[in-house]
Amino acid sequence: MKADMNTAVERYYDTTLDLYEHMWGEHVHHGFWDEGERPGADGADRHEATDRLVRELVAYAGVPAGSHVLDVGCGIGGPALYLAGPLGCTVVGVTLSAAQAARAAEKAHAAGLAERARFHQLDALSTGFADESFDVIWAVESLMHIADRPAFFAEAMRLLRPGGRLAIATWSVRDGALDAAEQGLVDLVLKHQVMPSFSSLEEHEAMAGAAGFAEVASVDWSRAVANSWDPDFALVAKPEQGRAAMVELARERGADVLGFFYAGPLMKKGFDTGVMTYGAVRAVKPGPATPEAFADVVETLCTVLDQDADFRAGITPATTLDGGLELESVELTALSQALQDRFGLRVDLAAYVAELGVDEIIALTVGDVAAFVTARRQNQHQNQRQNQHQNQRQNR
Amino acid sequence: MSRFLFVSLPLTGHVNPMAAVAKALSARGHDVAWAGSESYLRPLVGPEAVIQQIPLRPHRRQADRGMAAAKTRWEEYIVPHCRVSLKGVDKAVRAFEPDVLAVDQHAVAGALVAHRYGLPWVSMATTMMELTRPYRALPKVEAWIQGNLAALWSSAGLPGEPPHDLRFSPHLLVSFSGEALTGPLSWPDNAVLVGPALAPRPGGPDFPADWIDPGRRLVLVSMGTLSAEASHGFYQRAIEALRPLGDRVQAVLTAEPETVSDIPEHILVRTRVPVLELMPRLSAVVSHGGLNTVCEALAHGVPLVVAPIKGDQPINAAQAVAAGAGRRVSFARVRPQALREALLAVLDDPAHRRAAARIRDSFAAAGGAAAAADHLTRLAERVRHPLEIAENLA
Repeated sequence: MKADMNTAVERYYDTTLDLYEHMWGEHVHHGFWDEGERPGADGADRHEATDRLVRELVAYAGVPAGSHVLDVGCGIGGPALYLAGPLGCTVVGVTLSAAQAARAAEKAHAAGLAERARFHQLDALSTGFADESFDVIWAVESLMHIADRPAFFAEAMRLLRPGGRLAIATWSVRDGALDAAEQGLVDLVLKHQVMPSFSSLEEHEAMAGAAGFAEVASVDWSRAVANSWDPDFALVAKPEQGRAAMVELARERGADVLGFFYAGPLMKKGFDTGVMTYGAVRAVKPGPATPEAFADVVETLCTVLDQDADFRAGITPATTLDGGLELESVELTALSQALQDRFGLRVDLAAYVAELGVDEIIALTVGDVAAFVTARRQNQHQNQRQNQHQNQRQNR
Repeated sequence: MSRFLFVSLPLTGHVNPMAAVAKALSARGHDVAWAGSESYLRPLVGPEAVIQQIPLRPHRRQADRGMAAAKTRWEEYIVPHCRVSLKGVDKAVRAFEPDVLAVDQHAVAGALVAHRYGLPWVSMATTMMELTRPYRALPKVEAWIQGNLAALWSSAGLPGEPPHDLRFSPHLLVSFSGEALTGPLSWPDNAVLVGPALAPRPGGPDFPADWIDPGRRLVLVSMGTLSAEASHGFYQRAIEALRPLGDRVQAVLTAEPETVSDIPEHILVRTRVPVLELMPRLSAVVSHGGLNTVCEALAHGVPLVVAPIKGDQPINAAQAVAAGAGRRVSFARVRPQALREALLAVLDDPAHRRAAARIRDSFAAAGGAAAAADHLTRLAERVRHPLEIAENLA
């Protein structure tokens, strides 16, 4: 079943490569516009808008310059060349389509980025890359083609180094049950776009959380990208869509290719009715505790528990709170309070523990607490930077 | 007269208060039987009690502390005990044909069989564990407990989901504590707080009464049954805490003698002591905070130092402190000097003794075993005609 889907996706992109490139340019994904922006007049044209979507995702997911990136579903390399060029990353792109991989490599070579961006025809769920070998997993509009999405998140968790980031932009559906008419529309989109199913943004978040990611968040970009499907607005080049030309294309490449032309009206209706959505998902593989955070946690423990140097010397990152320190619930509450007093309200250990199951609480170590403190403090700094960034934009 | 079947667990602290209620019912002429192990129950419930025999199965040891203890309490104890005793409880109900079942909150088989035959049943809260909902802030832990109960419900062949939390009978809930100790809690509407149910215990251990020196104050150190490795040297730290107090204090320490060393003359180490007999002579109790020990001490107006270990003990410790009747220390970590300071505060600060006396008086007013027997009798009187039950049983 999975192999069938992969074969169909491979075939779909092999046979539509030139159509996409001709119509959409090098980015095979949605564009991003501010609300009310009119392309050509006061807004970006399609090419600028698809560029912008890449930059928006870089900002939202916090992709650091110079990262080592795995680009899952790299297409013909549009985003990869931005990441490898202006952002100074090294990129490994994988796609099921050999034609796309070859075209992407060609474009990288032409851009003088062949050393920094390499492309392979590989299934993203079985790349064979080593554990913890990437700083960033980047997936722009590829998750919809993957039937086993929990496996994608598990594989991303394996491939990322601790502290590494997940950056996803994806087609999605409204959360909750769909009625028969809505489901009918969704099924048509799935069929013509060679996609097994859609998940809601909330479901993506849940899958990331279940795979062990921290700092999971999503943002709904439906209104920013919906105009991608309005040919007039987005200034998409119009193909010769005469009936004779379509029949010829189908004879040449097989009937599946016609799905390419169905997408526009279906997606426009989907976005107009709110059934189809689009968004970005970000997450961080829980990072290692910094030595400073570990020392801070141990010191806080000593203060809260009124203990001496002997006690301090006995604590390692692997010491468990439940069995090792035999921390009582009142002491855990006091520790949480002390950490908040010291590092700010976001470092809320009690709320973190409240979401854990029995086995996770038993397994919780001092190292885990230090990693939690590290992540929350980093996140705090990042939020501050983002707020500053937003303020600057607003001021402009 | 009515018929009551008591379903408990092979745990002394759970059986003792229920045994006191069973005796009170028997004394009024009701028919009382126990579903459980003859060899375990007999010494606790007395020679006259009727026991519907359920063989005692060995169970794996529970973890000593924390969430690991909660996990093993359910997975290694409550759940297996329910599974292996379900058939025996069912058989006991068929044989004895009770009007009412009195079921320990953790003896889930009793609740399941009561449901199976549509019999009224009473939840006996022999610990504080469930009443304070200690896991209400941990939704996944609470869900895991409900999942365990739902699985037991299904494996007993009962349809659908449990209609309510099986730890809480919809008919009646008896707690052996009182609001003077617990403070205000959101009790279920059908809960009655009767205070400790104390009754003379048959065959108690000997104690050398002449060892006690009336000129010094007597302290009991009782931490439940602890293995040497689980005791974390607490006994030894307690001995060090007591060592310089020989001019003022005598202490009885319940422990296996081989777990402690270098014992001064004013400390007596005994494996078992007759706690209820000693209580009137005590000035303070150092305890792990089991509900029975805490309530027995407070029923005698004796203040406590509590070093809670697991289960409901941290809850009982917090309640005793909040009520002013004790001090709390860390079982794992308290050092001798801090333990001594806590003990001297409890001995010397009259506020603690006054708070303990207040609780003693309110416990006495709550009625204990007799009050529990009243509530059980009243429930039985509301029961349908015995013939109807016989039909249900057939």
